[in-house]
Amino acid sequence: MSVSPDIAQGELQCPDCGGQRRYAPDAGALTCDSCGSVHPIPRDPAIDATDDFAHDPAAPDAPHPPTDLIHGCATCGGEVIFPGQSLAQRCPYCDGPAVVTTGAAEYGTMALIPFEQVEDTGWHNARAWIAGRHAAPADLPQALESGKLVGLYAPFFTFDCKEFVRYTGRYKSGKHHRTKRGNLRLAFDDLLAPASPHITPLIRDGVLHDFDPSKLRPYHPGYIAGFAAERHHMSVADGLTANEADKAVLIKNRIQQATAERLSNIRFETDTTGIRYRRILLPVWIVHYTYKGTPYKVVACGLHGTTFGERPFSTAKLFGYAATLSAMAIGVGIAWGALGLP
Amino acid sequence: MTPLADLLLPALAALALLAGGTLVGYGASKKLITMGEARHGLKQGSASQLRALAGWFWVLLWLAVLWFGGTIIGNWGATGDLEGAINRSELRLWLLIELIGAAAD
Repeated sequence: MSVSPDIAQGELQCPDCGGQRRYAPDAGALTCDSCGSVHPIPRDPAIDATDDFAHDPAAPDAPHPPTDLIHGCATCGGEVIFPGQSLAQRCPYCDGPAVVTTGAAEYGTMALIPFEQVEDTGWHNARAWIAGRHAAPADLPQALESGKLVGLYAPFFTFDCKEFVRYTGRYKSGKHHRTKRGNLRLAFDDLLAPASPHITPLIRDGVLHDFDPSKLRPYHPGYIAGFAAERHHMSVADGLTANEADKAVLIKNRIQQATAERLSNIRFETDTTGIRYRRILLPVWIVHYTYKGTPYKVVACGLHGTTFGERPFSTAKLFGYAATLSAMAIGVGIAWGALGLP
Repeated sequence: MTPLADLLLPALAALALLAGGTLVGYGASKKLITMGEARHGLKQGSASQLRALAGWFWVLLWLAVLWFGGTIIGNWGATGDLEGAINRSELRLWLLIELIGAAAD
């Protein structure tokens, strides 16, 4: 739930020396920048962070005015908070300048999973990912080193729902194309959906592979002290709408798996019921770097270190790959033809 | 034609095919690498992975066309008869079209 800046800053002050505290993933607690003392974050045993909530389309959830000091990005429009820091901030999504703004209305965050991996691990994972790229420019690792790492709590929904799907699809039987019609009952459990236009599906599917609800903690500003975080600005209805395209891809895949025939041109209608949701924050390390003037980012999961990102290609290496593969295909063809095979 | 000329023309045709294949294959190679990264790096069965793996057909088509061109050149080089090599490739072409059509469905 949202906490006013004054309360949040008060809670983040060290009770021993009055210094600023921040969340240390390796300790799993707040540590003081000044005296180094470690303080666990209190947890209310009455709150179960894994609880989800029923969505009633007839009773839309209402946002409330922002209660945190919001930094708005002049470049991409991202709005984030930086609890416990007073330095000039950059946007964690695009590295553009972020300035204090009034912010849009927001929804309370229900839970989050705290960072488990420290900053050095974020760098290590980004370097390893870049080093493993094929057809990358030779100087890409150097470009990454000049980048900037930021720890971000990114807003997500989790959705549970049941789907009753009616579908049609075309399949080939002998020389003829036929149409298959069918019904399918599906259930989605803890489907992760980005709750911000700045979180691309690639970030979700690239780094947040294994969502474990048992790791959720009730929201407390202490967990995001020292990191950036984006508030939830999307209603549940908007979140469901934004996730429709991805859900359609998954439903088509389930239809394909459920049928013996190899279907193409799949069309479907679905009735969605039993929608339950959570508003959560998930931790990611983002490295922003530029290569020949173009910005890229590499994102590493703050829990398991799974990493994915954007990268440039080396034109010369790509032509090299193309020439090698072409030569192999042509070579096999020449041998085939020379041997007089059919 | 001399035996050298018999081999020179197919060799030049192979080089031309290689040059064309390399030019067209720039995008296909990029797609192959992107697909490999998506296959190993993205969540199995996720929407992003399914989208990223969707363009494999064009890579297959590129390689199949090069292979088919190579078979004609190989047969031409071995027999010295281009027209005959093209005629003999007809059955192969129909088989290839059937296979690609089945893969595309």
